[in-house]
Amino acid sequence: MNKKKINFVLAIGIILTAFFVTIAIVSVFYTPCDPYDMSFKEKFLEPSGKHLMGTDNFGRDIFSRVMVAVKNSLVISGSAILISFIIGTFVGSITGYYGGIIDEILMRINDALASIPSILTAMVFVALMDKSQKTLIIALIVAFIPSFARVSRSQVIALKNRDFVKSAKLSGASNFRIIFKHILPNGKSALVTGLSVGFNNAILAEASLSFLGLGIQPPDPSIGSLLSEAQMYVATAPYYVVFPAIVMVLMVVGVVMIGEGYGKN
Amino acid sequence: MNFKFLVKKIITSLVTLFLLATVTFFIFEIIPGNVVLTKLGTEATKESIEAMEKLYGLDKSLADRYIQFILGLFTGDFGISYSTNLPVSSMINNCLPVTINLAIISLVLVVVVSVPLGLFFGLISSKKKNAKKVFAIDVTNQTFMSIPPFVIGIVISLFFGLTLKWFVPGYVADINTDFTGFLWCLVPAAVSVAIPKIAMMIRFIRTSVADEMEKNYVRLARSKGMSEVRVLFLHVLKNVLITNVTALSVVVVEIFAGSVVIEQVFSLNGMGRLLIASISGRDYKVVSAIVMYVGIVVILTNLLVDILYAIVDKRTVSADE
Repeated sequence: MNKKKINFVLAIGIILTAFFVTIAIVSVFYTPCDPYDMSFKEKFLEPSGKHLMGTDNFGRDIFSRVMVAVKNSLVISGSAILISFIIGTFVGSITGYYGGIIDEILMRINDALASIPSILTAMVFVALMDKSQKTLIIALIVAFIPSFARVSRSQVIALKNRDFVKSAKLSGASNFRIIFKHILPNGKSALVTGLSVGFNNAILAEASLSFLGLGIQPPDPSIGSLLSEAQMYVATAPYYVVFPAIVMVLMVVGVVMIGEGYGKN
Repeated sequence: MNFKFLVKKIITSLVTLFLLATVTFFIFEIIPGNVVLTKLGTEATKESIEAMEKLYGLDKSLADRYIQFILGLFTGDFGISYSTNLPVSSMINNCLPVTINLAIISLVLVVVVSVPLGLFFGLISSKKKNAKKVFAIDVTNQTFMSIPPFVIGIVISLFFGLTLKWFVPGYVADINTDFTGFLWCLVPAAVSVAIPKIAMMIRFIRTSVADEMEKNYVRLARSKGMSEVRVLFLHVLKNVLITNVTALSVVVVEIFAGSVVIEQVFSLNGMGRLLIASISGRDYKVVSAIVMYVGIVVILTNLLVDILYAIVDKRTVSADE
């Protein structure tokens, strides 16, 4: 593939993601209608100029709710994935670099945690605590640490015996500096790809949990909870399902394309 | 494939399973709150408390309960459920047929659809002039990979269920009287779980075919005048399948993750729905047992894939020692 095409993928990804980030930021200050305002006279209105995506079973404006849902989704999955990326990469690269018994133990625990799907790990944490936004973030953090630890560990192990590491050692660089200044930057493309895959999975996990009623609690909207409400009215108001579903897909496609384009660069 | 490798892999799997069980057990032990008091209220008599503690096995020490839990992995006995007072194992066994069959149908769908399509697309992408088609394939794949199963499920039940009336959403035939009918009822759900994974596997296979087609042995075969299709089936296919065997374990994990959610969409009474009900009802025994069931399946799959991989690619054994 030629270079032009690669940047094209990256560009679409960035544009899509930037678009949703903008919507998320705007939703904090402005939504066309109040996303919580119920009006039983305006139940199940078809999409129109006033209600771009129609109204739901409580007469709330779906477009405004989708805007807030995008914000919730991005904030929750974004913050969770960032924290678990930092913890996972730190643990994975340190243990991978030093090796030995601690590495062996941590990686076995890591394998054990990785052997159940991350959404199940997250569900266990929701079971342990109450159903709230905070729980959701903690659950996602715990669920995604193993994958990041694994990626960074394999990068460090693959690179730690290379010549540039040896020469860094000879010139007296500390182990810490070697790991974070020399090894990790060289594994950057794998880490960034891992980050985008993780972010993507976190968005899906958040949506799935909220869809199951284990994530964001009503009346706060999330793409997942919107879809779960919409599913009940799928026969009478198909547009209620269609718009959140499209938004969900576009949001994830944007993130995936960034990882794609970056990984191939 | 030697004996030492096999033993090593089995021991590693057992250790992983043991660690998972330990983490799972203690994580549910540290939750504050007394199940018995919550259930009986403050006016409970001493006798009724004791009787209930005995029923749930809470009269035993922590160590005893831990050993019991670990043994449960082999006996399948995970005690009595807090919410229904039934044995946890029987509750799970009622749900197993749906989840297992759903997973098997999805897995079959993934393999049957993704291998031929992946090879075909791989063949297309090995030619330079097809760059545009490859791009279109990749974008389509990417999109399908990004759609969560429950969204696909909703669309399928809307379109094929309510509009075309190919199936009745929420209806499942009785497994004992009509097994084929039962399987058919699971197909829409299985398709929803499988679609993103099919896209994922097509992508893996396509890229590895394209990579292999660049290699020297393929160039040699081509220069001898072999047709592209013959090269693909006689030389490339084997290597591509070897590379992608490991991806199967990822697919199995994802299929289980997907079916937890999809059971809710299609109102199937599988482990996913039991799990959600148990989480909401704070029935930790059922939750931890389900975690272990899933963990066992995944760990076993990983073990099988590792062994399979060692059989088809003998280099792994020596590299592992």
